[in-house]
Amino acid sequence: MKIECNIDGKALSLSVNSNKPLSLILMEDLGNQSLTSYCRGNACGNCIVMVNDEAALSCLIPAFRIRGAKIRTFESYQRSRQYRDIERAYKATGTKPCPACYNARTLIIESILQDQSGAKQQNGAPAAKDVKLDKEKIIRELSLNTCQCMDMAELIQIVEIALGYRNRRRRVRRS
Amino acid sequence: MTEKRPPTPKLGTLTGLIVRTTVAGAKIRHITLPTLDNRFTVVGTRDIGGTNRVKAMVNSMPLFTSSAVSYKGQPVLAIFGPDSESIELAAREVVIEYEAEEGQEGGGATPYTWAFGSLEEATAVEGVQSIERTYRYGKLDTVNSTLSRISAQLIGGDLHITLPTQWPHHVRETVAEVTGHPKKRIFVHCESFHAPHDEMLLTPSLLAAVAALGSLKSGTAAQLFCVISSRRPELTIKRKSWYTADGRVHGERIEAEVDQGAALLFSDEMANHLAAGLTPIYDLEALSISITFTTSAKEPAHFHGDLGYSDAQACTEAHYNTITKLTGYNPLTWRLKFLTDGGNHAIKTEKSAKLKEILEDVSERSGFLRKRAAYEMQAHMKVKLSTFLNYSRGAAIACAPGISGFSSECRQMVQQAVQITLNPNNKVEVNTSLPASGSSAEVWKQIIKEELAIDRGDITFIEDCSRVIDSGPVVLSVAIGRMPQQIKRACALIKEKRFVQPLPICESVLSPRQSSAGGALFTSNTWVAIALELQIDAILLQPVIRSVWATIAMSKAPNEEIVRNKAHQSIVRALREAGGVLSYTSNFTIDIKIVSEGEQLPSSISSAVRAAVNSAFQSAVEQALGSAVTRFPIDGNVLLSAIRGKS
Repeated sequence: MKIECNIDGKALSLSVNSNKPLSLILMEDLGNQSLTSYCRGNACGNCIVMVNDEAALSCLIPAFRIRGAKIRTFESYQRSRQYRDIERAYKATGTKPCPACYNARTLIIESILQDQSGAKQQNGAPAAKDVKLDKEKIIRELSLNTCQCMDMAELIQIVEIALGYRNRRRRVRRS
Repeated sequence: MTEKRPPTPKLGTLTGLIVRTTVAGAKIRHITLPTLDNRFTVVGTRDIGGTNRVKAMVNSMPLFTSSAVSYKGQPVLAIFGPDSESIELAAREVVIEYEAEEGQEGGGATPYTWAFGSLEEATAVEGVQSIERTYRYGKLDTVNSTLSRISAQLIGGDLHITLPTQWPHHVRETVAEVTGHPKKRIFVHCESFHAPHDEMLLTPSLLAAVAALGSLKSGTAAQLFCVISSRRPELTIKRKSWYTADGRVHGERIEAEVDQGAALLFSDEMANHLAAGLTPIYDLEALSISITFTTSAKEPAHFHGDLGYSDAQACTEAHYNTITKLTGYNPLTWRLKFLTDGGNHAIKTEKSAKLKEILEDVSERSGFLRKRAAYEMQAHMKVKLSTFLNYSRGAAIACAPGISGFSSECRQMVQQAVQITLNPNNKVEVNTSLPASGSSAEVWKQIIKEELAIDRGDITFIEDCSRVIDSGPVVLSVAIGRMPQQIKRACALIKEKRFVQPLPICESVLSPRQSSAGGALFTSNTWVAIALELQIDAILLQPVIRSVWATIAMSKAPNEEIVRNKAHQSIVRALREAGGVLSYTSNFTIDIKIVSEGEQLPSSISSAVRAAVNSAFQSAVEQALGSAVTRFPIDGNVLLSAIRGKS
């Protein structure tokens, strides 16, 4: 079937089978280098991409579901300014994910940052620094990736630090 | 404007699928292939132009089988077609008929022995007691989901192979031997990879040979998409120790059995690594080790992050923790009393004074003595925590020396080289087949920068695969253990000739053989001490790690941030693989302290970290349950049987 979607800022028209998973479309058809995982739906969590600004397991998304969707992979994300916040947080804590899950974990953290900072401010709620982080939700999101290289306490710390950087950057831009 | 994309990135590239056996210990009677059109190419044993073997040092295993089936999942043939869906459909129609074949299992080889002192004399001491335990290190359920692409393409008589691999020269040799294609016309292009369990050591060579056969037969480019995983050898260690009431261990007899699956690969070297781990670092009069390798109808198992050193070392530390308990000592005091400089005859280590210091440091930081005493006391309380458990907390301490690279006894592995060239205008070119990216490469650059006083930006790695020299397989932490020594030596040789000879100056350094002074198999200048505290969840029956403290002593930390990150990752991975659940609470910490003294380049810490973490975890679970745990990894069944055993 023919599917039109937006991947990494490019509007594409793809001819693929309707049930082909997004992970395979990205790897096989588009030659995306940032994605290497294929667990056949076992939810290893290394194939995370942002679908309409939310972290999602691309091996569980069939081709027909991406029609008209905006997909962002780590390949384009790593060139963005938002990535610097997370990269700095990794540096500040002195730990970072292993090469196998680095891309996926970074995208999950980005999704959490957008959720924790952006959404609340849009609704006129207090700024994220004044709001207590919803740790349970963060743990749930971070559990999307099952790689064994990092502990949850460390990941939460990275999210908190990255959120601090993100908010500071936003305040500077606004002022 | 909408950009149109073709369904596949390269038109005309054939995609392959390997058809594997579905049974083990049988014989193939007949293979029926479906009728396929000219878009498909089938590759089997008849298409092999060279030999049907994949070699690894002195041992080998078959590429395809057409008669005897050694294990379930053994490759039989490969089908190449236009896309992955059509070949999957074609593969479903392949019918393989088997006939039963008996008496395949249990093939063994001559045991490897390692001994010092006289056991008879050592155990004839008055008042000697003995303890005998069997430890089992079994299958590890590690899920690898990295989809690797292995492709082969014939361009003007040159065969270009693109794949992720830990040993590019092995790929080249295997492809040449299997296909019969001239070796000098095979070019291997390496892609980046992450292989914490050495998945990319031999399997990529096997897959490359299949892809090359497909490409040569069809005359077009061929590729395989595969999830590559490795199997851990199953290890059974039976130890009998003779000790006296004063805590001294006089003698020990160890019988280890290793199940390597269908093929015995790297067995000689694995025996050396196991012997190094099984030999205690404590005062011991006599020791006898016997290691037997057996085959079974399972997938071949060899490297799995290391060659069994960490499992063997973990077993030793856990066993000695049990002895300290039996003799009424606490593990720290016992270690401080019985650690000796000439303890481990298999590893030439640094002075034990340093280890004693870091053991005391880690114990103080963790409050180990207080916690251990409290948990021991509470375990004997009458009020029970739950139906199953009296009190479910445990604390343990363990230590290990870090080793890296192949042993001094390993003669089969050809010496691997690295070449450094100082070009005019102070540009440095490094020639090695090891991956030129990642934290290891950063350490190499740092060494070159310091030794030759040049900018980091002026250091480049040769990327042209036809010019790259063989630096051996990237296993056993050679990239951080052996390689910096070679680079430092090459830099020293260049420094001697600099300003004397005209540029360019080129120096090659072969891998140094491990020093075999005093019959030691390995040399180590790093120590790792770990203290760990855990709690058994009374409802879920899971060991929840509360905190971990680590002190690492090394001669010179090349980059403290990298060492800390690596140690952290190794601790978390080891704990998860051992069956531990890391606490989500904010109190949970992994506190790592690095003590670096001296100017020597350190050996690797990852094997030592893994060993110390595993033994501390095992001993802490034993304390929490109050009964012996001798099976690894620890899951719900192991815990339940330990609790039942106690009752």
